Amino acid sequence: MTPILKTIYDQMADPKWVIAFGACASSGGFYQNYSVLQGIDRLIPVDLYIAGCPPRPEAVLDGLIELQNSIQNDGPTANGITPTAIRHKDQKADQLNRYFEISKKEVFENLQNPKSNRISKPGFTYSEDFINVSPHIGYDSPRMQKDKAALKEK
Amino acid sequence: MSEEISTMETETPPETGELTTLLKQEFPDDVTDFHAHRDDETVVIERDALEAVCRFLRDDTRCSFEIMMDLTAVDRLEMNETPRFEMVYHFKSLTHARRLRLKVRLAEDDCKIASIHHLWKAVDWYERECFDMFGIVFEGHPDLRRILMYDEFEGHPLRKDYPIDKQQPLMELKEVEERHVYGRHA
Repeated sequence: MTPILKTIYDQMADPKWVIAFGACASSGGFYQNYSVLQGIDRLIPVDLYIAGCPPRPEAVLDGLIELQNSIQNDGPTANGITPTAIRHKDQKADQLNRYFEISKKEVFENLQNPKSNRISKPGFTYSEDFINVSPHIGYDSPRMQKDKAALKEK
Repeated sequence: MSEEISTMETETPPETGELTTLLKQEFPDDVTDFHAHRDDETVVIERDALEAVCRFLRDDTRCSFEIMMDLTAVDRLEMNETPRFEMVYHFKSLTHARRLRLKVRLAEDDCKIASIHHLWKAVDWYERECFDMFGIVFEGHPDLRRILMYDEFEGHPLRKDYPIDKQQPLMELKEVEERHVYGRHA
């Protein structure tokens, strides 16, 4: 297919831009074998990659706006962050805070309220200040026992 | 007590179906192997008997397999089985509502088999695909050439000894810096 695609690219009128839409066009995607070209950028110059399999509608729109900006400004926007991404970042921060609040609630339920009958009580939760989380839960090697004993003496 | 323990070890007799017994009757020397489970039957036959058996399966009213459903091949190189290729034919009968799987084993240095395109027209492209992917030559095929890969492609990609990642690009490709190299071959 490479000669065919190259012919089509050469036939397109200038000015022209190429979007690699999806995982397979960007990098070969899910496939790596004798028959799949690992990314169309090995053949023709690509101006925009839209990742996904399939790409989300938001990613497509974001990509098209990014392409428009990069055409306008002769290059992609600074650090690749568009106004959309900035607004999205605040939204994402709110989402993550809400997500972290969930685990704090779970800690409260498990430690403070053993009679809780909530449906989801995860087996492991992070405590708020990480004091009780230690990578050496369980077995202490003899050397570690010695170190801990030494620390205790101090 | 000993009976309970040995129930796991006693051999259950292989199930045979009507089609297997029918084929064994008609072609006693050519049926080398068979197995069946519930309503699925598989029969292994000799390569030279393929044309006769297929004609019998299509024309005889006791079988009447009108539809040739599938033709594919299995490369048994990594299973270390001696006849390297195994052709697998699937037939379907509408009048009897039955299916049959037919297998033919081919050696590596002699992977030629009779084409059955004169019995079922649909076999045409299946045989071309087997030729393209495995290199099995179908004698009597009207137009045996590659169907999935381009003509300049060398080798037969679905053979186990063809490196899976080996591409044969028709054009010069740009070098793209790979940050992480996946796969087994360049």
